Amino acid sequence: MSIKIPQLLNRPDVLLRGNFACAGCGLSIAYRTTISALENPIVVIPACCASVIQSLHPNVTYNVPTLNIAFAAHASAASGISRGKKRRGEKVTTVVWTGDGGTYDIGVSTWSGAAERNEDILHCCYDNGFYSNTGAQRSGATPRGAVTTTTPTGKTEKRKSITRIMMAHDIPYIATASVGYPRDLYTKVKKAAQIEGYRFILIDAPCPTGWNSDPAITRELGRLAVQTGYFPLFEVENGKLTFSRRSERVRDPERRKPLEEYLSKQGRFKQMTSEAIKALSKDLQREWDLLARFE
Amino acid sequence: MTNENEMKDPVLPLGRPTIGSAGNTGTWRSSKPVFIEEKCIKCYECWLNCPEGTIRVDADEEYPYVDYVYCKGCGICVHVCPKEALEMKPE
Amino acid sequence: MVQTSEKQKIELLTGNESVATAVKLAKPQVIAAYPITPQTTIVETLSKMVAEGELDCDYVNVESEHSAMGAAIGASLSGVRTFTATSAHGLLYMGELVWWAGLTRIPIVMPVVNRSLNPWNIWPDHQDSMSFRDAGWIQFYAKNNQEVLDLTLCAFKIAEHHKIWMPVMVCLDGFILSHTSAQVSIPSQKDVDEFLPPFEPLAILDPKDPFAHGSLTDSQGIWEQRMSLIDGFENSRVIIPKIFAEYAEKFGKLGKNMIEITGDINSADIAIMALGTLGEEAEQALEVLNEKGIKAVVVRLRVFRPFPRKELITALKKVSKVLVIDRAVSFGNAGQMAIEVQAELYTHKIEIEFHQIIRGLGGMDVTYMEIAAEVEKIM
Repeated sequence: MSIKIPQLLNRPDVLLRGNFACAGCGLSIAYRTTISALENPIVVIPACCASVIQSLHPNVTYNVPTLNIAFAAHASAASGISRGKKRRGEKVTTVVWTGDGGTYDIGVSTWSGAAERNEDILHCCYDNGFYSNTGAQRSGATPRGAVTTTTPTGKTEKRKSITRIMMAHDIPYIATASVGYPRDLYTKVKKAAQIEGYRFILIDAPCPTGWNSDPAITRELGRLAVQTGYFPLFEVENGKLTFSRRSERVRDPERRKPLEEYLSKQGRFKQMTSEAIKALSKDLQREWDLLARFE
Repeated sequence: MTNENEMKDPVLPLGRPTIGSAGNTGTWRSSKPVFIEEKCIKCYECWLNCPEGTIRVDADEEYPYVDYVYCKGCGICVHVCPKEALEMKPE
Repeated sequence: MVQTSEKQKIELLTGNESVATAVKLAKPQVIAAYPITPQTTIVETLSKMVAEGELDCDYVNVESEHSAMGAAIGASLSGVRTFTATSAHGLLYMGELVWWAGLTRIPIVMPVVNRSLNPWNIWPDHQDSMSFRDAGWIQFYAKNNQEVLDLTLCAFKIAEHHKIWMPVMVCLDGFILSHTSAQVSIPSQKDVDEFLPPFEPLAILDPKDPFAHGSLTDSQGIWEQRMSLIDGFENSRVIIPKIFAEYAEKFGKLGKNMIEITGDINSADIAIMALGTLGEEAEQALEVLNEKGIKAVVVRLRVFRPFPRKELITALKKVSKVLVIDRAVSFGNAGQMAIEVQAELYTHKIEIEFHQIIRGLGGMDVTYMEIAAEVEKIM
C-alpha cells in the first residue's frame, strides 16, 4: 500500500502548533503521523517529553482525549480505559504513547502485564534512546558508546532489544518504524488499527537537543538509521517476522551505508573510537541475526 | 454551608486543546523558511515532515505556506524539499 | 424500624465477604486488583462472582498494585464505576497512584484491609492506611462486618457525589474482621439500586470532546485544584452525614454521624477514642468500668477524613478526660489520632485531661480488660 500525500492532507490536526517541543522534534512528527491515522483515539501519556510538549494547563496542545499518568502506569491505565469503553459500548482506539524510558525501563511491568492479558491497546514507543525529558540521561535503549549526561564517557552496555522482549509475549502485531519514513509509519499504524489485542510499534525518533544534531536533519537521521542498518524496520505478525522493504534492501551489510555516516552527524557519538564503533556494529549485526531467526 | 446547591463544584485537572498554548513559538526562531513558489511542485513533503504543523495547506492543489507565528525555524522543510523551493533566511 | 426496604437477608459473612457482597450490590463495571494477604479473599470472591455471572463486570487481573490503581484510574475516566482493594505493602506499592487518584479527583472505592508494614508481619495495625491519610482520600474505619458492608455501599455514593467527587478508602482490620465470620444483614438489590444511582461521570475521556487530564500545570492551576480539594472535603463534612442518614433510614443500619458514641456522654467522666475494631473492643470495657464506678464512653471516629472535628468537639466538651488509643505511630511524634485530637482540643480551648497510648501494633491483641485497666490508671 502506498500512501500519497494528498490523501493525508485532510487528516486531523492532532498536535496543535505553538507547543513546547524543541525545534526539529522527532517525537512531534511521530505523534502527528501516528495519532492522525487512528479513529477515535484516546491517548495515555506517562512521564516523558510528550507530557511536556502538551504545554501549560488549562490549555493543551493535544487535540485528542489524553490521560496523563505516572511513569510506570501507562499500559495499566490504558487497560482500564479500554475495558471501560468496551463496557460502555463505545468504539475507541486506546493508545499508549511512551518514550523509551517508559517502555524499556520503568514501565516494563505494566506493559508486560497488559500484553500478557492481550488488552486491546496500541502501544507506541517513540524511541530516542535516552531520557530526553529530564535532560538526556542513559536508558536501556541507549546504544553502546553513546554519551549521555549519566554516561559521560559513553555507555558501556548494549542497547536492550525491546522488540524481542515484546515478541516473547506473542502479541498479534509488532512493528518498527521511523520518523525518517512517515508514510511507512502511517501504513503500519493503519494496519495495527485493524487488529484487536495488544499491538506494539517502536518508532525511531531523532532528538536534535539530546543527540546534539542539527534540527534540520531529523528526517535524514531517521533515514540514515535505516540505511546504515542501525535501526531495522520490520513487522511481526503472529510470531512471523518480515523485514520491511527498506531494511530488506540492506540486509546484506555490504549494501549498507557506513555506520560512521550516521554517527558522525550526532554529538553523542563524537568521542567514539574506531574500536567502539566496531563494538557497536557487532551489537547491531547480532540483533539482525537474532531477528532473522523469526522470519 | 449546608445547602448542596451552593457548594462549589470540583475543579478538575482538565486542559482544553488550544493553538499556541506555549505562546508565539515563532519568536524562538533565528531564521525562517521562505517558499519560492515558482519552484514548488506541491508534493507537500514539507507539510508531511513538519513537526509543528506550521506548514499549512488550505486545500488540495494549493501551495503550502508557513504560519510564522508559530514556526520554530527548525529547517526540516528546507531539508526535505526535493526542488529547493524553500530556503532559510535570517530573521 | 426499616419500613421502606424489602426484606433484608441475614448471612454469616467474613469482613472480606461483606466487602465483596457490598461491591456486588454496587455493580461496578471494572474491577482491577492484585492479591495481598489479608485482602485476598475480597478479590477471590469477586472474581468468582464475575466468573459465575453473578456480577456483570470486567475483572482485570493486573500484575501489581501499581497497575491495579492505574487501571482503576483509567477505567473511572472512561466513564464507569470502578473498584479495587489492597493492604499494607500493596497500598505502599500503589502509593504514587493513590496520590494521583486523590489529587486528580478519581472517585474510586478501595477497601484497605489493615495490616502492619513491618517485614514480615501480616496482622493488623493502622500504619498502612494512616500513611495515606493526607492523600486526598476520604477514610472510613469499620468496627464490624456489618459496618464494613454499610460503609462500602455508602462509599460509592459519597465518592460519586458531584460536590465531593473523590476516592474513598474503607479501612477494616485484617483478620479480626477480614477473616472472621459474623452475622451481616444484606440489603436487597432493589433497595440498593434505589439508594445508589448508576455512575454519572463529571469528566469522561471522549474523542468528541477532547481534554487532557492532569497535564503540565503551573502553581496557579495547582493552587486552584488544591483549594478545590479542600472545598470538596468541607462539602463532604455536610454530605457524608446526610448519606449516612439516608442509609440509616432505608436500611436501619449505620447512624447518621461520622462519629459513634457508645454510652451516655452527658454523664461520662472520660471518653475513650479508638478506631475500627479497637473501638468496638473499648465498648466492651464500659461495663467493666461501670462496675468499678467509672463512667466512661467510647467516641469512635467512623470517618477519619474528613476529620469530624465539629462532632468530636461537641462530644469532648462534655467529658473531663480523654484517652486516645492509636494503632499506628507517627514516628518522632505520637499516634496520629492523638496528635489530631490534641490539635482540636487546643484550637477550641477545651481544657480536659488528655491521655494517649499506642496499642495493637502488628496484630497484638488488645482486650477490653486491658483497655479498662488503662482507663483505671488515669482516673
